[in-house]
Amino acid sequence: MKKIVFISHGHPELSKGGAEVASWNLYQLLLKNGYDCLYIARTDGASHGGSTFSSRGEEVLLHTGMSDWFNLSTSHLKPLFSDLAELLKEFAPDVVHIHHYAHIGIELFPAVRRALPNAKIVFTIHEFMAMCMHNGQMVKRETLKLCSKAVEADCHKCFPSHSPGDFFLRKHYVQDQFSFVDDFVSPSQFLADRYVAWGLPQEKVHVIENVLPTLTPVAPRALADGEKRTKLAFFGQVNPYKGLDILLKALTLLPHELRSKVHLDVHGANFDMQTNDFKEKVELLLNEVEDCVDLRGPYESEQLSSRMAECDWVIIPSIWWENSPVVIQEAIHIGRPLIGSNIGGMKEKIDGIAGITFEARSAASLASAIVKAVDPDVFQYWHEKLSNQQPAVEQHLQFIEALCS
Amino acid sequence: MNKIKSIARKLLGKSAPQPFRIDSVAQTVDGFCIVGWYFTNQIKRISVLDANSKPLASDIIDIERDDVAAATGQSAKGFQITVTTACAIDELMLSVQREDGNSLTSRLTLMGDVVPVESEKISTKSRFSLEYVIAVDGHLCLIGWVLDGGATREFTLNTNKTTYTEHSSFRYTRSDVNNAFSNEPSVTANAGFVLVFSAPEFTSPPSAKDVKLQLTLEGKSEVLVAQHVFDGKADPMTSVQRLLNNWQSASPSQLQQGDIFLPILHGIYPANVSVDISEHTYGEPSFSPSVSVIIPLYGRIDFMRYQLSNFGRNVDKNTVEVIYVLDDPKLADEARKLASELETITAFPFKLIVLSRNVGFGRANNIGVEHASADTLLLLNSDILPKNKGWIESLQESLSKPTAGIVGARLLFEDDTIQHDGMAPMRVKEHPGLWFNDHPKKGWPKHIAYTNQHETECQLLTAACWMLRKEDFVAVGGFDPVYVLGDFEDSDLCLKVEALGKKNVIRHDIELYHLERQSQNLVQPGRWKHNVTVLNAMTYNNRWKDQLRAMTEKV
Repeated sequence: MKKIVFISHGHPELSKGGAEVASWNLYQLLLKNGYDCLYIARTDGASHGGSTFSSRGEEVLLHTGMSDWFNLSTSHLKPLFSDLAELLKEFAPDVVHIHHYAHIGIELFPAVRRALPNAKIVFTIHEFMAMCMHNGQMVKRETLKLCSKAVEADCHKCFPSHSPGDFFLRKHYVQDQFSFVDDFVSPSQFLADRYVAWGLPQEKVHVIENVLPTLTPVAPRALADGEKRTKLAFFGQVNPYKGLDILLKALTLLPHELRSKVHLDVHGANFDMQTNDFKEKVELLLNEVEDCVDLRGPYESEQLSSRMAECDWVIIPSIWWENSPVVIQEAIHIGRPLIGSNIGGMKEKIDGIAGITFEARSAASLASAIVKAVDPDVFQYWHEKLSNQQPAVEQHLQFIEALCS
Repeated sequence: MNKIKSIARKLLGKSAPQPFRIDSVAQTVDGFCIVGWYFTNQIKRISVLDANSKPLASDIIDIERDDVAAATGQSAKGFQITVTTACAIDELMLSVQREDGNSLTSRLTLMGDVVPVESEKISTKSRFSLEYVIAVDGHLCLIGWVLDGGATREFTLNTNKTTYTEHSSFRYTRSDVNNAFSNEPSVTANAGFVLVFSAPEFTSPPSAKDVKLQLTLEGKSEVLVAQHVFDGKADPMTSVQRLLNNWQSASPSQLQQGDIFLPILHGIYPANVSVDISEHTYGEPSFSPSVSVIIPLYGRIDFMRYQLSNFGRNVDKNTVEVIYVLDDPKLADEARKLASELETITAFPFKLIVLSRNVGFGRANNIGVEHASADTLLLLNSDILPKNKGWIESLQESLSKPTAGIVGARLLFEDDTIQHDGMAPMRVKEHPGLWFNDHPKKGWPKHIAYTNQHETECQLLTAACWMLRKEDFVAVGGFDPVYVLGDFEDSDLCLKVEALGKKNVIRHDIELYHLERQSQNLVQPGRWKHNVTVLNAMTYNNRWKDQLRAMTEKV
């Protein structure tokens, strides 16, 4: 039986990030297909007796941290180069599937390579952290303008305390550590292209969508006579990059007769953790549209289907590029078309496949997309295109099989 | 997404630079002067503590620091603290009171980098002043002014024991004297003087009352008593500033007189100062390497991380030995900690040589060479990153010709423009008669500087990346420490190797990145640093002007 180790920067039961969830779903898929898998999740805080490892169910928790967020580097070397190394040697995997180095340190790659000279190392990229110090968003720090290329002189403008030369060194250091990776997986072509332009070898980068647990399609909401497809929903974090403010503004721009019929449910988390400026901006907008918006709060994965089933359209108005937002795949599988920003991963995953795109960051453009979308014929057209198939499942299995042989 | 957010917070937090910074610490007549800056949104106030952690009485002057604000995007305030104390500098601490109520302390060490050396206010009660004396190695340099219109050329120095008349002198116009006596232009012209006496009796600095300067003014004999005597070796950078801050090297008449400073400068930075050396080995270096790479470290040690990580991909550890030379003793602990981390991370073996004092670029390399076990040397700057594999082997191939002296490489800035493609002598309008080193094509995009020749002869090469035989390096005596604070020692050595009958060449097809000037301060060094460069240029030109002229005529 072939052995696979997963390394993630968080356990999905403790931290529901896209990368954690994606790695977890893949782990479950490979378990089901007969691979001997070990899931190692990094965690905060001290462990019992100061040990580097503890457990959570079947999974191993790795207690360590990152010390240098400029170089994405750690000086906690013993947990990686001694403790993790010993554990990996003992388990002796054929493949190590790494899903993030954040909070662990980019030195994870040489540590794994040193421990397992012959294993295949796979790394799945989830955002632009390696090339963009601004939170891996590729959005300018002060102005929040879109950034399409990490040029050292421009990075210096976002972070004046680091010289262009420093950014050059950072990039090369990260690329040095990436040189220990055999194959990279990117869930979107868009992200893959950016990383290849930045310096990853093209032949090592594979585009394979994240896998999801099976979701059962839910039939469209039954309409009353003459009713339109006016129930909209937003799923995800409420932070400045996710564009909820654009969506609320768009509602205020709708024609009067439509405005009185449209309804938006916001299934969002962490609004209270945002900066005051952003909170004030959103609250002002919420006051203007309180007649047609419900704040539904965060949800657990079991609640997703029922919450999504209530709406007609899922809206994803992010102002950053996104990679492959899991909410897009979930909406497609449950059977809800999308309205999304026409940039990056959203454009790639929605345009011509799952719904309508609008000019990113333009509330007016989103408003006219909504006007179009409420037409039941338009909904019908896109709904019929949605597929519940997951080609990614087969692609991942083939990919792993090829690595193991 | 929780993760992403906390990453954002961490990133923003970590990207913030230190909330304060000390630019310089200099000894004054009766204490110390500390110059630096802090972020006003994070720091409330600063003070200096003595050995018992009691605050010392101090004068604090605020200085506008637009440069810091521009470089960091945060509002910052500069400070200059002067304290009067008999404590030694290593007994004092700078205490920083943060806005959040916590306080930080920072050890102090003399670093005379950019301190404005205090100049005494001109007193109009007197017609002359012997402001200070710099004593070094049996030389006394006397600096002051006398209202004689520059007429006096003969000065007599009386010490307790001896009378000296032999001296070299230099008279020049001082704007501060002009301003103080603005209604007497006929006597303020050339009122400033610099006198250098050789006084071998003073193996250590005399006390001020024992230094009396005798001169004749308006027919009357006058005696000037020194106000201060400074030991030139106590704080070299501050001494050099005192020596050179008033010298207008851009004035042709003053430029010609620059020779007067050389014995003092070389006394302040002696070539043979003793230094303790400790060698530390990380990993298992090659037993019999074919190439020894020597890399001096100064100011920034983090370059080790990037280089060793890169070497793991682009250097064969079985045939190449890497030796870092830390020429910055205050970073010794930090460097050894980083070195042992890098031993684990990169698995690239290397040595770290720690020097007990700062000896400068040339001598740091010379010491590194003494520790080299291979016959072939590769001298490298710490801010150089090779682009790909095979570069050392290519340099070796060029060096394998018996006539080859030094082999250089094409160096690039991070944006792929030319940093170095061979050097050439250049004239500078401000300093007529002197040749300086130019980097032709600097900043050019590579495709405009295209050449299909892999290797061309090039007499002058930057020592940022050199390969040469150890026997040649040793035969010419290594880098000449006569060049103070690092200028021209590389072109000087290039010409010495040529004089052995060798040819220096540059490989245009070998490219490395060179992040030039990464280890410099946020602030520009003052006039004194420029003047040191000019004095080094004079030494260099005195040796090589015929060769340099021939070189430019050939072109």
